[in-house]
Amino acid sequence: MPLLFRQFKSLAKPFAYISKLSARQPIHVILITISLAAVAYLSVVRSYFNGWQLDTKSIFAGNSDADQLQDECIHYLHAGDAGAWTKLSGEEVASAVFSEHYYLTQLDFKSHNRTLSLPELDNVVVESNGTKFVLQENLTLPKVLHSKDGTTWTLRPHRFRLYDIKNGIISTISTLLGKIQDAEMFDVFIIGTAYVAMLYTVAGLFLEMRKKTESKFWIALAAIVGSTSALCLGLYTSQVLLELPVTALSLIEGIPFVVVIVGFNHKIRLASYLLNYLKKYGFSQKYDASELVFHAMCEEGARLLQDHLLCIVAFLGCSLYAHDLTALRNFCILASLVLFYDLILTCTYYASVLALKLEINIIHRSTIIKETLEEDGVIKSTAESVSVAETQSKASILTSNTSVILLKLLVVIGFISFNFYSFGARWTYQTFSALYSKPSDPVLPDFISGSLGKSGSSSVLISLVPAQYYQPMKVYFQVEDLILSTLRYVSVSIRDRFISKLVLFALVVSASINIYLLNAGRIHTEFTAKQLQKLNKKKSSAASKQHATEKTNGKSVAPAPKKPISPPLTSKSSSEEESESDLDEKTVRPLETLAEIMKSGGVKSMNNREVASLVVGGKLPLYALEKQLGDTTRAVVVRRRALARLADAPVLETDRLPYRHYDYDRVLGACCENVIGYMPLPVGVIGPLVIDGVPYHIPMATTEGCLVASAMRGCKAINAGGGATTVLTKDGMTRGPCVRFPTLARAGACKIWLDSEEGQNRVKKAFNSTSRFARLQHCQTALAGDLLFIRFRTTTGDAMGMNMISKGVEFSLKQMVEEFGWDDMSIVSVSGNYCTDKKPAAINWIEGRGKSVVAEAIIPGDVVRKVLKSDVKALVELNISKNLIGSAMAGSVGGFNAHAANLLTAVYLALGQDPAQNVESSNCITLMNEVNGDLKISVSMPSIEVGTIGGGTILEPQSAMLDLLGVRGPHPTAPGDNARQLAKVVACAVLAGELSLCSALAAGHLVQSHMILNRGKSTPATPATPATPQEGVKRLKEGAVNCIKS
Amino acid sequence: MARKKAQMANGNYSVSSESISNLTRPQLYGIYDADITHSEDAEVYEEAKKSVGKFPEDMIKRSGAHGQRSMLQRATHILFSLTFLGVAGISYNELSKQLHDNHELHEEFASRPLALGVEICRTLSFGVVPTWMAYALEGVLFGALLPLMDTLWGSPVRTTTFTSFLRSTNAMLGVAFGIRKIEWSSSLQASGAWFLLNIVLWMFFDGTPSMLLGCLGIGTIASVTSYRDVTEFSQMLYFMDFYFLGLLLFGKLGRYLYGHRA
Repeated sequence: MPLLFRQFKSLAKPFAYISKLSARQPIHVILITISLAAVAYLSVVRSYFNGWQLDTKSIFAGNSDADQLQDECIHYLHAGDAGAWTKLSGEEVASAVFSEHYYLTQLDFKSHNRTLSLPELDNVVVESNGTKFVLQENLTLPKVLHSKDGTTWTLRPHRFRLYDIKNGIISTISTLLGKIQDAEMFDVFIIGTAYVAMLYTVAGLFLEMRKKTESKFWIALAAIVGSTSALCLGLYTSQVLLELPVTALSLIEGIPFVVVIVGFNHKIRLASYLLNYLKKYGFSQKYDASELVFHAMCEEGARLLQDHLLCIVAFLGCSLYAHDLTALRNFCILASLVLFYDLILTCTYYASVLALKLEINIIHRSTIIKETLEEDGVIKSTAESVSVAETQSKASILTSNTSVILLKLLVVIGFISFNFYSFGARWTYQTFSALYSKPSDPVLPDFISGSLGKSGSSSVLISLVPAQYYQPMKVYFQVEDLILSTLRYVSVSIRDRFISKLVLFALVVSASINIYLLNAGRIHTEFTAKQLQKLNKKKSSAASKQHATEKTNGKSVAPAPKKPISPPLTSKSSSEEESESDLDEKTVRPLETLAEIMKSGGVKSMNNREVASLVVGGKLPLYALEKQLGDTTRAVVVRRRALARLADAPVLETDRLPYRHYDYDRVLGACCENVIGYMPLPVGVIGPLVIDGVPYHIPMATTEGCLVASAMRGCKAINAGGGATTVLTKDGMTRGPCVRFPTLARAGACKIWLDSEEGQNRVKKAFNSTSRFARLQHCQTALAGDLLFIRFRTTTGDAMGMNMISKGVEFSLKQMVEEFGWDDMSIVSVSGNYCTDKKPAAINWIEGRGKSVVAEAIIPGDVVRKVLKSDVKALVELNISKNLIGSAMAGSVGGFNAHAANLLTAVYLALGQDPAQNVESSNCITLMNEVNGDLKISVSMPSIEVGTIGGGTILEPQSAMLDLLGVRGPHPTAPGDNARQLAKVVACAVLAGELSLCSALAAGHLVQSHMILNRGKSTPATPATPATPQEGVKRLKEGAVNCIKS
Repeated sequence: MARKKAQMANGNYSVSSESISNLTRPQLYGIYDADITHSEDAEVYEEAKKSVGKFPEDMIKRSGAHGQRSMLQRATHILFSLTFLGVAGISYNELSKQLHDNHELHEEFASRPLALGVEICRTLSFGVVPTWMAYALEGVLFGALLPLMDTLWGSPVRTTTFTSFLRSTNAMLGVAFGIRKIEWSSSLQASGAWFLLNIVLWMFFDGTPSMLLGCLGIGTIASVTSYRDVTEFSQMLYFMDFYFLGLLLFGKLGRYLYGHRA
């Protein structure tokens, strides 16, 4: 449904700002909200269940059983001659002193077994079947009594039982049933429907949240908690502040309608917007969590505001309109208050919950990325982390998803029911009694009033103690007692003046630790956003300092006349700027001075020209610039300047090779050394290409014209046939070290051991301990003299994996020497070219390397004719002659294709893959055949080597292009899925290119034959002028075809 | 030497002659026809849309059986929606019968226009159609009214979710409950409040002009047809209110059942 008024969008802005603010401090906001709601809840509960009071008595009193019994007593005074019994209140009794004070206690002996004998008691006044009245001067009663037949009777206080809950529920149900029978059937039906709809809404909230966001439980629960808090706050405001009480009945009748009509739609949409945004775009440098919440609020807040305002207006209008109907007016005011609070809480509390969730997701993701990068061989990785990871994976099997959710639900329900149970428990004294069938006040029994009344000489006070029950001892009671006394002990101990403070202190500490941890977690991730800004600031400040020094230097030697000519660049890093003294040779101090400054670590304070002269003078090596200057961009500037002189290449002093606006921090130590700039490549895009039912736009960096256009045509044809289907048959990166043995016999023995199951298993175990992702699949061996080649094949997660596998191989070989008994083995090279990496080799073509993918598409015959302007039969024939026979004639290995390397390399360059690996990655056989007049084309590529993390993918432009495909970084749940998907995409791009080029070649052949045919028929008819360009085109085509074929 | 080379590379080949352009032209250009780079249609997106979510082999297998199944599906959908609307019509009539306040609105008063419709229906069919069927037919008619209006309007029939329909049903029930239970000081007060609430409910649930016009129209028709029974203005307003909200509900239902789902 659209917005009614556009103005709501701008109205929602302030709310969005509020949510941004609260998203910055999520834990504070959540804590404040919860405590406010708790306070409101407590005071509201007090007014609904009037028996329950949060007063000093119930908190600080000693609260022993005797005191409670004393409170529960009803006191009757017989004032001597008056002859009548008067009732006294507890205070009156406490304030006065009476000469004779007796407690009359009714003891009921309850047992199903009537034959049990009752125990003997002192001071029994009256005794009738199972009931004894005891008159004594104090309140103490024996806890346990023994009767003659050995039965043990225990004292059961009348309200101190779990049975009471059952009774309470039964009585509630019976009163409810009574009310329902009194009410009209139709009203009951309406209310029932509303309740069913409310349940549906709540269930729908959980299901929708689960479907639309990754979160299965907590966000939905937070939404409900938010709304409940709004209800509590609304009730508090209306009852305590505005003094407009709403009866429980109208609440019970009205709330379900409000819940259903308002619903949780907005909250679901907010959550799904946020989490899907994160899923789709990842965590970008521009936004942190609060910024994202702000955006989500801007997007979805207008609807939220509109709906809430409409409801509030409706309810307020209703309350004004029908102000003489108290119940309706009060309920309407309450409802509008609840809605108002809900709106506020959605902006604050719910926004912070979402921000927290977002933050956790981000931290989780960044941790995964960091881990994976470390795995890929940047920093150490120990077996410890492996063991941790493995135990984690075992634990996850034990706790399946559903059981976890059930557990969470149980815990929450347990807390709520405990809360309600505590109303009925004894230590909160007489609570909930309003809802129970209230026991009538005990009246002074006749035998007392009869006997004592007559004799009455002095004033007698009789305190009537509520009936106490004795029951035969059972195990059940012991258990019940144990549970209740534990609970009681806990609750009493919490009330202790020291412990309560301790608990409060612990709460505060826990909250602050949470906040601290969140902040710590943020620091961990925010280096992408805030650290970057700081770095920029630092750079600019450092640069301004440098400016200052340069200026002073300039002034001391000569004025800087050229300053006004060179306009100050607006770029962030001023080290990119050519400063005013560029051409002023005199600003350069002598080399010796500079060398001395350098030795004292003052390279940073020099100007660019001075550093360059140091480099040219051979005092400072080129590769050390980054380290010395501490600023990667400035290092590039200096290196260019120095090289311009060292290599006599003034081209480096111009801007022809760009270097500005590039994040060299990511390059340093990972992608390139001795950096002098970057090589821009034009990037084109093909697509949408439907791969396994999902459309992809594939970027290609190339300088070959027509390549993208031709692949695009291929995409069009493939889509017309329903898209491409792919199959991934193998996933394993390889490394083939070379080892040498002193004798052939030993080498052979080692080969046999490695091929045996035991050898494989032991090497696998050693290998797998080095990484979380690398899992050794197989070791293939080959013997050449006394040289043994072992080809390790392993999974590598989402990384291309050469670093990861090298580490594993090194460790495995070391283990072989040290542990497995091959101490005479010497390692010739970790890479023995048996891998084979970046060289043409049949082993990759036969055994596969990286991902082995087959992609296939069926192109309808008319699409081949219309889109590809070719013919199915001609295409099939061309494929056989060219790609199969031609390549066979040429003795090709894996080159049975038209131009797979063309597409593959362009995609590799655009996506930050290793371009040198195109050698084996381009291994491809293209097959075509005719099926019912349609063309079936497939490409089989056994050795596509790709990764979505590490290498060139860490650079911003490349990772942006991976984002375009939706495969950037490690896969959050299934490691390796992103890289596998990328391999499929690459294969499909090759498929499109193959299809397009082959059909163009076939078409060229067709055109030629067609033109020859035409010329033969009607040469004189063709006009002279257009013939020349046509012939030219033809000649070009022929030339090009020959060129390609050669 | 290096400088010379750099100058060579730097050289201005601004004067482009035919031969040079042929030399620098990528070889692929020679193979393709001229419009390889001039394809300007957005056809590729159309094709991609068709193929999204489908696998080629499935396409071939299903292409024959596809039409029949959709016929069957359509038939079941129509049957289901007719039943749904019929049941809704009957329940709506029940609701109208149960609607009363503590003043002028007697039980079964609000259902008079519906009863009139039933009477007409029975007369037209010479008494063949049973009463419950007539009420169900009214429901179907009510439900079809808004999608029909949308279609006549020339705009595509909007779709709604089941949750949205459920919410509006609850609103209707809530209002009915309020009218019955609250001790109104006069009928006019109750009907006036309801009318104002209706406007807000329309804004809350729908907000489309076609719905507003339809609802107002149906309300007017209902009050006009039963003007003989009306003794007080508040009763007229009740007719208006009840049928306004009724069409809102049935409009939602109709849109839910017949709307174009993306």
